[in-house]
Amino acid sequence: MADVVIAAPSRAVWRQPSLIWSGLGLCAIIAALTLTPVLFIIINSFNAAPPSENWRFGFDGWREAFGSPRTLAAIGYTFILNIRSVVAIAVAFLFSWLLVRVRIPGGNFIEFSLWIAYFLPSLPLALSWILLLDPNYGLINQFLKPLGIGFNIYSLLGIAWIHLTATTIPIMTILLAPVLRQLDASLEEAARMCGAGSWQTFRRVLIPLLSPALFTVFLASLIRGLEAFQVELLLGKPIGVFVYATRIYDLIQWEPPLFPQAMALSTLFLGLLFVLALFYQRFTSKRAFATISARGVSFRLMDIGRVRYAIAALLIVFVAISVYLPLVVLVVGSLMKLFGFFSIKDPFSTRHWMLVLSDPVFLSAIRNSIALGIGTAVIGLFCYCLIGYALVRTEVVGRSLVNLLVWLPWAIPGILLGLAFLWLFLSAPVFSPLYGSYLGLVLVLLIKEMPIGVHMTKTAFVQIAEELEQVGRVCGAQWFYNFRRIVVPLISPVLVSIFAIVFMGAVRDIDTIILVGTASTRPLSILMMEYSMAGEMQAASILGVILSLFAVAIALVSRKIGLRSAT
Amino acid sequence: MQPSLSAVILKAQGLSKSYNGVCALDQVSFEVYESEILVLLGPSGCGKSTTLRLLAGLERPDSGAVRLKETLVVDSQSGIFIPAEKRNMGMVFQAFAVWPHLTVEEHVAFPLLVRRCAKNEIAKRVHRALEFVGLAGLESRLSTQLSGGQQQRLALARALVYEPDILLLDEPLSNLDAQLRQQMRLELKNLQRQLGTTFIFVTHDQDEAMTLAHRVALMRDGKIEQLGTPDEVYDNPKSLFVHTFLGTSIRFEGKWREDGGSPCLELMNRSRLRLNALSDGTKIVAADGRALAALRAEDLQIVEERRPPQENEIEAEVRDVINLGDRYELALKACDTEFVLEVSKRHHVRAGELVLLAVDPARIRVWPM
Repeated sequence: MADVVIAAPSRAVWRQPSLIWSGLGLCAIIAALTLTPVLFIIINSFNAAPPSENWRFGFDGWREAFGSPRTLAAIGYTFILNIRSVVAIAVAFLFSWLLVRVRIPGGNFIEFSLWIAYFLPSLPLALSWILLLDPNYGLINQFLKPLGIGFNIYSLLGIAWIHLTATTIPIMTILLAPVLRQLDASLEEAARMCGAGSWQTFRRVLIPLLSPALFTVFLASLIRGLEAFQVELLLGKPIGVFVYATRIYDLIQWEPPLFPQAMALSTLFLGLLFVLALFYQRFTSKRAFATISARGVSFRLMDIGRVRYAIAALLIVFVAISVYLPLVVLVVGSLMKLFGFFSIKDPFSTRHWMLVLSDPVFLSAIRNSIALGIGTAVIGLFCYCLIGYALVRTEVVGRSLVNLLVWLPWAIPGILLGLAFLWLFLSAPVFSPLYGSYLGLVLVLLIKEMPIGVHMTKTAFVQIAEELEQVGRVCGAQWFYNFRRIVVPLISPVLVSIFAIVFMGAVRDIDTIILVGTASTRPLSILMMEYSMAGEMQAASILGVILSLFAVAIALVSRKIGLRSAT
Repeated sequence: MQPSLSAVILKAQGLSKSYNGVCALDQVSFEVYESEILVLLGPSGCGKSTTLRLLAGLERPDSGAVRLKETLVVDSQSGIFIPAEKRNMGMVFQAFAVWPHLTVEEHVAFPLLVRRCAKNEIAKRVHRALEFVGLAGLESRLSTQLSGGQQQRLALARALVYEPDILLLDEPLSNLDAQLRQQMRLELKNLQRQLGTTFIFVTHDQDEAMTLAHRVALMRDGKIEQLGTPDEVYDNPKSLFVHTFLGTSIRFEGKWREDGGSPCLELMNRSRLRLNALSDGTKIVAADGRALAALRAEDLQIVEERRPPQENEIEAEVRDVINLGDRYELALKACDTEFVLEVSKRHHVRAGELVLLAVDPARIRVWPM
């Protein structure tokens, strides 16, 4: 009957003296995992000593980092590239609104395609766009040459294009669609009945109602954008364009690595994100926003007549260009004798596939990828569920602190997270067995995926009415039995999604584990990165195809299972 | 203001709508008169909300037309479709649909704002509307800080402030608790009387329909089963469904007896019901002569004398006597039919006894089995 405000879920009264201890334990663990890298970064940014000597306080790192014109240029480029988030949020909002509210043919297919895009690693997509838009041999450019037009993928616009089509817009759409689904359609209809046309309804009702969600999604995309790294490295480096993240990476790649400078840049980055987070909190606490009706929302599709075919066509063209075209081109590219050279006689060959597939390095890499993915996803699911449940449904002490700490890994670029743990593994003998082991990699990936994982479980727990859980307890079920038989089945669709997201996040990750891993634990993604930086585009594109297959398979499985348990 | 039964403000013709192949509304036609309250009544899934949404313009009919005053607002044949926002109708939604990001004042000002009214005009009308629904003084509250009843008043003020031609109400009271519901029912009725606005009111609650309606349209399976004043549909139901849906319906199986006089129905326990004449609503066609007599509880009277039943009397066994304080509730059984009757405390009956019930022959409704 009453509306439930997401921000303030009612909590079960479930007090026990042990709550204090479990709360403190939870705080300690999460703090150790999340604050360690942050402190490491901040402390080392003030290290004025040469690499081989002991830590000594000084501002040298800061001075050098921000005195360098290359850093300033990188900040400038980062800013320019991230203007894409503004474009993307508008497009994504429109897409998700069309997908959720309007009856368009092929809506399921379009949404599924966006899910594939969400799971796809960005590096192989960049490879395939190189095939299409390389200024010299790009396929599209060869077609356009007679017309006197040409595109260059090695450019700011090229980088932005790949991000927009392959990551930013799909991710934003996927994040916004469920928010729109939860919004009671009668809120919009009420505005229309009051005489507000589509535009007025949109501007005065829809946008204000969704502004917290829009802001969250915008912020999330901005943060991802700020730390985006693979595409920037592949396409930016050849033309001397460095962004913030690649600049940090570049500093670490120096011999000896310029850690203090890299850390100083990262500290600023953390500070910036902290300010954004504060701003966000102030913004959302002012008024109560998105509400979910506990009675189930009235959910109706809008009938818009024949325009729906035009809209469907437009969206299908978008996913065709952003998802399927690069995938097909990638497959074609992987089957070429020489990557990108269509003009040579008889350009296709399966020789490279044979070579790669029979390479022991590849075989161990695919084993490593699967082990890492499943390990991270299984352990992650368990941990995130416990943390999410503790935050939403129990009264353990220190919940607000944990709530905050859980988000910290978002703010730490993967490369720095990896670096911090590399340092930890190497400097503390207790942890040294973790260096180069699966467990070490899984630990780092768990921290990396924690914000999204915990956030999703929290949302899921908030949404199942507390009575459903309490009734089980009243019936006499022990807490864990109840959790297993009532709570987990209720949120199982979400659990499947989390598993898929964490698995794919681990399989395609490059920046977080590139420093922590060794040759014996090297997964496909790292191998692909190494190939493509070494110029072995052929082998890189083959690995790209295989990773993309992973992504498509995961998207298919999660959709199938997620749908089945939802009905 | 009394409804004028001559001035038609809205006319719906042959409205049909199906969702995913399932027919929700099947060739529905009706007229709405100016200043009346028309209640669309029926069980869930009967198509009453769909009808309302088609009138509102929130959905397009598969076929059919709606004329509002002189304007054709939707017509499937000529492809005319005027969107919801241009129809100048008001609507109160089931869950009120108050916007959580606006204050009370901003809510009521919204429809005037989108109509580009002047600022002082808006202030004046908002104030008047809030005063009218009893929300004056709460202007700067956020809508989410209001109670259920207040949210509903807010939804009402928002829908009335721009003086719509017709106000559509989609089960507006179903989200309120029982006491508040009763109160709001009367308030709505008074409000309509003062304003003279035409209301089309959807509900599944027959009490609500009876209290509010000038006319009731009882719907079932996407069709209008019967349309008339509350008394008409209650007293002269056209079908057993209508009889059952409105008030209590006590049914007895029986057989026709031709004995020269007026039509007569013999029940299983040999009691005879003699009808004065066959009224319009009764159709007696079953070939085997079997029929179903339907009565209302208020048409049964306890006979004080203890004697064998005569014509138009039914003997019933008292299964249980429940004390309701000011009266008794009797659980009775006669001819395999179990039913409940409330009687005054002056009747002294005990469980296990037999009582004699006199039936008002004019009130008996008969349908074929």
